[in-house]
Amino acid sequence: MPDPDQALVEACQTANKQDFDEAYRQLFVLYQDRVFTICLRVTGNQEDALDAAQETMVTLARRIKDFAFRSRFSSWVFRIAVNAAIDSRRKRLDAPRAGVQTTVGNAEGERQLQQVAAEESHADPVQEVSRTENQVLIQDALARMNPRFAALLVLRYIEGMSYDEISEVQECSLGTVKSRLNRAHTALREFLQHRGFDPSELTP
Amino acid sequence: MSQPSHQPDLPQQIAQDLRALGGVQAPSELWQRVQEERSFTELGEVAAPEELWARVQAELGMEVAAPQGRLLRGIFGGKSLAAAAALLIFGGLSIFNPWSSPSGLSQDFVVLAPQTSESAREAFRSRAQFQKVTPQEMSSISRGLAGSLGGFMVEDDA
Repeated sequence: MPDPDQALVEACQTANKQDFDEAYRQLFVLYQDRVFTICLRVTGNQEDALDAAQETMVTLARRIKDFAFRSRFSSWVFRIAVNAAIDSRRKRLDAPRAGVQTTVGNAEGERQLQQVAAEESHADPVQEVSRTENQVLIQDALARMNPRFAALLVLRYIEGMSYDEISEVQECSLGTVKSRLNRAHTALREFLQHRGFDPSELTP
Repeated sequence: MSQPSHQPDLPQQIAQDLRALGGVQAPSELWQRVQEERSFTELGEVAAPEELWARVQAELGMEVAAPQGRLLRGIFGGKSLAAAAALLIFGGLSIFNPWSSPSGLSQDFVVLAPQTSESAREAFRSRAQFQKVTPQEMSSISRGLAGSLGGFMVEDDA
């Protein structure tokens, strides 16, 4: 199956500077929101997410000429984004920035979550508040768990990828994806249970 | 991206809440930041023009034909300073090796000396502070270095 981004990528690879800028701009528009979402959910805060998304997009521009279509272009982009977000988390653990908060307790993050919840649930305001609280807790869990596990949950549930697609992004076997995802599920369940979730709510 | 083909291992409600965390819009600032960084890195490292060496040479009043650093870099792959120091020490030790014969000493010096022209010596001398010492006060390595830098005459004076 041909890569849907092939034409734009090849335009970047063969174009002069002006045409490159145009093709690159189109790829940027295609991927910016998904790259930013991955970075935001793995890092847990806007500032680190912006840094990681910037690094992803700059790396993409620098290395696109060497991209040889051995995987889908999207997998390559998400791989760079996941690695940039994980690096950003590690850097923050090494040297915490003053004033940077995770999405929990961050007005902008909570507003975004409330907006999403409001769009999806118009019927019951009580249920709406409860769902928003759950989403805040889940975001907190992502920001605190092993970033590799967080990235897996983001790719699987937020990006809606199949195991095959995740194995391409992570450059590992299907078995490894399944076993790591299993551990990520366990880590999420344990976190939520620790935060007062009823265990019956945490079993499929 | 295709939807997951497997039944999720998380409760449906939790999986839904996770999915609801998606679809965040990237801030418009992202494009500006990426463009700024790209234009900054495009400035990159620029190769020095050949003229630079000629201008430095003229400034120092040196007569050496080719930049020694480039020559050594070509031979030793960029470790020219270390290589030059090693050569200097090796040369110095060879000249003033206590086990070598006096005739060997003068022969080695003849080989090394032409590499440093008189004007180059003058240029370096004008930038150095001299202190007169006798060869007996110096270690064999120091004597070797002094000899290769043109300080051999001091020994003669002494």
